[in-house]
Amino acid sequence: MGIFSRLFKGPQVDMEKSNANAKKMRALFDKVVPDGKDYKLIFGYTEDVSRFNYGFVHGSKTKIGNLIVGWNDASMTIVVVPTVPDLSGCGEPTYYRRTDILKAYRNKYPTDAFIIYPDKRSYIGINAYDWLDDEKLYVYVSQEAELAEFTSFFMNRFATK
Amino acid sequence: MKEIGAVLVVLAVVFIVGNCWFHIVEAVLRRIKRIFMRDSDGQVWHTLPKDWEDGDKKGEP
Repeated sequence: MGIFSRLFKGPQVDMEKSNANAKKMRALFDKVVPDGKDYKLIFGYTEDVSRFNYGFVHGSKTKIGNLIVGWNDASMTIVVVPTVPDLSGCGEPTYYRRTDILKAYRNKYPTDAFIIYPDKRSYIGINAYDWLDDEKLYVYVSQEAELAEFTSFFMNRFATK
Repeated sequence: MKEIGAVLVVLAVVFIVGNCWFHIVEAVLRRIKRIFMRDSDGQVWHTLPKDWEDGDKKGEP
């Protein structure tokens, strides 16, 4: 490997940290979801973009919500557990069963996201990437293979259109 | 040169005042929301199991 390719190879994944976080995700998920071991896991996040106008100051702000996303191929169920970037804790799980949801599809614009409508009034947009470097905002985990598997499950088994 | 400096100072002041104003309004709104949200049920929060690290060291995630 030459000097320049070393200089410009970009940020590298710290696999030790990533593996530790993957184990933490598993521990949290199994704690709140009965039969959690039957689910495969990825990290995902939601984005809540809102506009504000405070007089002479106006713009938009984005809230990021970190999620542990589990899926069970056999029962065609996706479970979403809210968490925080350092994985110190998590909230209650929400279940999206293929038989119960209104619709589910993969959105490409404005962002690549997995959209699930449990009913007419609400929806969740799950964003997921192979790896996100910003540890303050996102869970530090490398998940290329897992994301490919989840995408395949979502598109072939879970999506309604 | 002086004019450029003056414009930069004015821009800096506008930026600082705007930032302060944004954070003041955000803080006030947060307090108002807290007053109204006090009665509603807070979300249940589970912490990472304490024995997680021990299990991890033993190779039992």
